[in-house]
Amino acid sequence: MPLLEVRELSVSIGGVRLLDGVSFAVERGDSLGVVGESGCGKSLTALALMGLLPAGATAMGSIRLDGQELLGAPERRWQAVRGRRVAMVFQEPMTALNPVRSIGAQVAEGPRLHLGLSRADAERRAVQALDRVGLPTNRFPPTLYPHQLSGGQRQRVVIATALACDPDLLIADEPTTALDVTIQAQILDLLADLAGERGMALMMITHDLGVVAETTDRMLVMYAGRVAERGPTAEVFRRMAHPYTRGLLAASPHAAAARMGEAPPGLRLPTIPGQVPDPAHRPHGCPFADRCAFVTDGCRAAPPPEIAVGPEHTAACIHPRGEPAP
Amino acid sequence: MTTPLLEVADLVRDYALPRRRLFERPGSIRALHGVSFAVMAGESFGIVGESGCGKSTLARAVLALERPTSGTVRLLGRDLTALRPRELKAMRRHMSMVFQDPYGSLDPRHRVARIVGEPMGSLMPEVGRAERAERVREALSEVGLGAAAADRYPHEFSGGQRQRIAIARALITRPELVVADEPVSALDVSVQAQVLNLMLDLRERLGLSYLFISHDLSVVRCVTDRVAVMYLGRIVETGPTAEVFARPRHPYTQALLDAVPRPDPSRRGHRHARGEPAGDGAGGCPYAARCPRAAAVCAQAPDLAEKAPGHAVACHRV
Amino acid sequence: MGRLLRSPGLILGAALTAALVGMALLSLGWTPYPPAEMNIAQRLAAPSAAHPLGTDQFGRDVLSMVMGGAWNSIVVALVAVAIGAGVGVPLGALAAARRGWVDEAVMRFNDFAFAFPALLSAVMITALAGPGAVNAIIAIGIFNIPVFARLTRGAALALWQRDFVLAARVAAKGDAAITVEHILPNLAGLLIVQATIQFALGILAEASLSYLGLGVQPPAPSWGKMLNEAQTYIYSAPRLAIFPGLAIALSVLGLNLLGDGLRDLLDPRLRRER
Repeated sequence: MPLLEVRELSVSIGGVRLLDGVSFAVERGDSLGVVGESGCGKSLTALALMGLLPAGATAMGSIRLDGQELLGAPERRWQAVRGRRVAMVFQEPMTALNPVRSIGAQVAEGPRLHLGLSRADAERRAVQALDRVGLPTNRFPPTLYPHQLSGGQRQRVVIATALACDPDLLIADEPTTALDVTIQAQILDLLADLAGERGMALMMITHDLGVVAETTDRMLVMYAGRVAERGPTAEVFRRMAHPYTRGLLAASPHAAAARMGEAPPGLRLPTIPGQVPDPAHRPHGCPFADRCAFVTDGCRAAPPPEIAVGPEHTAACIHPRGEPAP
Repeated sequence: MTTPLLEVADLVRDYALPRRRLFERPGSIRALHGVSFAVMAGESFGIVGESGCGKSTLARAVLALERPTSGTVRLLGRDLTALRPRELKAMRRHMSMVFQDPYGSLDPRHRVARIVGEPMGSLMPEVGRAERAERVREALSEVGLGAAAADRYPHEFSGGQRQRIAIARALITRPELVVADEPVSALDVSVQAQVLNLMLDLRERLGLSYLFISHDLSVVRCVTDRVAVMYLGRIVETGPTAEVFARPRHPYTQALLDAVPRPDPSRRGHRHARGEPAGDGAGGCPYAARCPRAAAVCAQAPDLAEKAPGHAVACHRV
Repeated sequence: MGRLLRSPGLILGAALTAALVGMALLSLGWTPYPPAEMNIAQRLAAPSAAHPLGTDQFGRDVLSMVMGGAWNSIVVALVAVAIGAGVGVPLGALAAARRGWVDEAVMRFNDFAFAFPALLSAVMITALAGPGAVNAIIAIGIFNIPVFARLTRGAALALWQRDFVLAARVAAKGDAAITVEHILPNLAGLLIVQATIQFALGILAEASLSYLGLGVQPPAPSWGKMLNEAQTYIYSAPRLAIFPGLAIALSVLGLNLLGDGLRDLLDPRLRRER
């Protein structure tokens, strides 16, 4: 049985359907990447998995953790899950920590609450966690306050807090976007190492295809509230079947820079024409149709089903591309 | 040799720290340690670095928003640091800036026409209202926005469109130099590509020069001719962008290039260099504390020395 | 518009404020009876058709006095807020624009002004300078200045850091032009809200001064004076205290609700605009 199974998850806010029938599964120890741009619904998915949807949001479908249904469950069941079995790391390390509590106290809070540890035991556990994330106590005593740390160090504290109760699944929502490049790389390394040594599942949500390639074994590409493509990461990169995925890769400056060789600048980057559709006015049929270079009439008739294009690799497109990715 | 459009020489900028005791003299922190470089007309020059490297301070010094502690900034041959306020104001029409945050760089209470035309009001007061409106229309169309955009408010536009509006504003006085401070960092990937293409188009069409500041090497690679890599207030490597990208010599540049996540699944399991920018290393090479190649000689700060044509590096161990 | 209708506080506040203002303006042209007209034969009459709120110990129609008092309260509070904002806002804007010693001077002046309990000081000023509407206005106005100065300075300081202000500086726009074109318009919402709150406080302050005999002088009607004169009759005719007291309470309530409602209305919209 998969650790986490999401089926036909749909979330609407104010009558606008933001997530439309999203399904996926995460096995124990898996590392799943969820990639998409703003408005695709990836962050909303993460919030739904934690039971942290904003007031006024309605969710339908099913979210099962170890077979137990969570969607629609009473708050008490969510509280037993949050922080204890599923933990989350957010994008902004500056605001994720309470500025008036010491880092040790914040990391220890989870174990005290969820594991019922005594203050002394929780503190010991906190020190261990801080040590493991690269903040040894001799240089970073647990009595330090968040403002005394840099962005990268704060994010490490956030990770320590998330890990303190040994969760089965860690959801990281753009954990490194607000950090410098070299620090980003270190944090991603840390997350990968921690997931590996604890057998913890990692769900990495990002807009960066590079991050997905370097840190995940399986991936989902989301567009306009739906899954556009999914499969083993290496397989998806080898043959990007959905036109959106191909467009995303082609448009990324990283890919463009790699293609340039030693040529001087001037080569224009391939772009995806148009814009992401307004969720309130999504077109009938394939949401990418208006921007797709390969659109046909069949595309607009109905939302395309997910078609197999390779081993465990599917794309929601009626004419997926076949050649290896650019 | 023609005069460079922009010439920065030995720029030093110190910031006073808040006093810790009432009668103590405040300490200072050195944000720029004698930075020098030149940008030729029509050239696009990139400044790459992470937080704390001094790139924002550099931008403010180049735009004469702050007075440097020492050093000179020459625009079109004239030293901006030595000009009187009126002369400086007259020089401002030759440069402009595009900011990182498309949401914060446009006044939410002004219409687009007013925002785009604003620089003309102070820098070209002699231009009449009719001509100003015409130039605003022109600028908007140059960045791919229709004339209808002029009457709307910023909140009616997306991030990418707002950045276009900001670019239109930066072009309105037909400056020679545009300082772009992380102009695409806050945008989605597909929108980034659109805006970068726009900037390339404008450069070709209008003969602009960019001082392109970014932490993202790939973006800099796509848009600039030459680049300078900064670390803790110093330039550690500089040269033609293609060259520095293909053959980085300074350990920091190498670490930076290696750290950028690449859409290449074979890099799964790859581990990166460690360490964070520490405080100002007393006198020696600022990177020594993190450098895998640090040696005794690194206790003395290295100067920028040319190691290949046009390609200079500040490192003893290269 | 939808938001507006969904906020009961704002609607109630607006309604009460409108009633206050309406009554005050009406009183300029018409009141059931001249507020100062005495009619001893009818003294201490209970509410009736002829006198909806009854009469006081001199036979003056209470309703007319309440209406006249409304006008009086509004004028005093309005002018006092105008003084406070008219001097305080430029002071705060100047402090934020100039920084340095100008900022220090303005802040110290503010600290100094806040150190004095406003109402007591207003009492002291009017007692020394002599009672009367003008002095009451000046006294209340003076203590509105530091409120607006501090609010303006704080919000302006944050705005000066915004990129669109930096863009204006890159375009060689002067500090004064930036303050007028960028800073103040973005503060408008905040200032309007504060003004309604200060207005309410002004009404309260005027009533307090009039109660002590230091506000407007007879024969002009005033809610505070009515309260004072009603003291002697508190057991025999409590309505003489209740009606002006209710007028004060409802006005202050209405203005506060209006202020809070406006704050909620303006802020999220600005946030949604992003």
